[in-house]
Amino acid sequence: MTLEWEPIPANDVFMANLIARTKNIKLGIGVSILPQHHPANVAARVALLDHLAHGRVYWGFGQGGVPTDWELFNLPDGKTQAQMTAEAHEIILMLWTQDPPYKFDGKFWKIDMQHHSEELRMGYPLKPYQQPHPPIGMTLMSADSKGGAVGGKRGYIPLSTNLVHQNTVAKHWETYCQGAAEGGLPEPSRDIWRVSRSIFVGESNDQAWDFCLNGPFGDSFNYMLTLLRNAEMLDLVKDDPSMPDENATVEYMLKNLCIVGDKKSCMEQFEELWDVTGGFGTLLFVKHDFDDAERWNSCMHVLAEEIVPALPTVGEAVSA
Amino acid sequence: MDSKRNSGDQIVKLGTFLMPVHPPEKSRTACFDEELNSLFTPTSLDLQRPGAVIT
Repeated sequence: MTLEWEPIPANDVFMANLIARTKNIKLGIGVSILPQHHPANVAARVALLDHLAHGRVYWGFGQGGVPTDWELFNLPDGKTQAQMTAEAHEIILMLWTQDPPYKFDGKFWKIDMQHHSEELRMGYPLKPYQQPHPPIGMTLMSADSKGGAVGGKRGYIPLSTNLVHQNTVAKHWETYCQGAAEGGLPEPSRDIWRVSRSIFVGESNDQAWDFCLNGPFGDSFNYMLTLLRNAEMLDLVKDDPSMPDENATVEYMLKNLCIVGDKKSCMEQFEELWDVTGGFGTLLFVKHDFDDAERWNSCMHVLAEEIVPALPTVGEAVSA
Repeated sequence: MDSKRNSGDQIVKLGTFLMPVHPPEKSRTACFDEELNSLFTPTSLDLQRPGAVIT
């Protein structure tokens, strides 16, 4: 809401525009920041989007982590907001899946709607197009991600962030599967796993590195590193926790967390990612600032036409 | 890396994660237009096909 580097303050409004311009793309909200909205509003708006998109909407939720946003909304500390988020999540599921009357006596959110009218159909919030509700995704950040474990327990879609090392990404799947086992669910298929990576395929290794290091791509990582440092969350990006904070540089990020280089080098990096993680169902290309549209279009073309089609099938090791 | 996929095997899907991070000095309107239009480039990551995902 208050970050100038991240200027979209309402992802549902943005998505409504995309829905009108597309027919097949599945669109995910990543994420609804629940402490900043009444859960009944979130439930209704996402349900409406799902209808407008004829069932192409995925939903994600989180609690947000921007201190100035917290002050803007007069929100409590992060730990308390986690509880607010959990309560709001339950309310949204209740409104999507149950008929009135509604009662939720939470610590932070309270709903007590007892006087609905069947005659007038009053007291019936909009249900989503998809039943019982749109697929729900959970973003996994740390190796032992609490969201990942909860997502596994509930059968939500796991989505690995681009802001961690691939060794951490590999652990995401273990955490998710442990959650599924704890929830009594069958062993999940890797087909459902989304892995996001910042990628740039250039004409040569030198050109790709220069483009990424000395432009908005590198600037965005410098911004992210500063955010994480200020939030004392820099360990997130480290493969080895003992690595000194000062070594977490833009160069480190590009080399260890991104896939940058010419086509041959990028393919080798994808092979390594595949081997380390064991494979996944969807690769999410992280879109950065398109400071040079021609280069980015070329990058996406190579990615879509040559690199991704060459990835093995889930369950098939590259080196097999 | 040669494709080791047999005909008919399920392919890895490609999607995009819009991370709308832009330099503060860049026009806000230009940022929003760019984010929206990035899905409609000549290649568009084949995102118009069924099953493509944007997050």
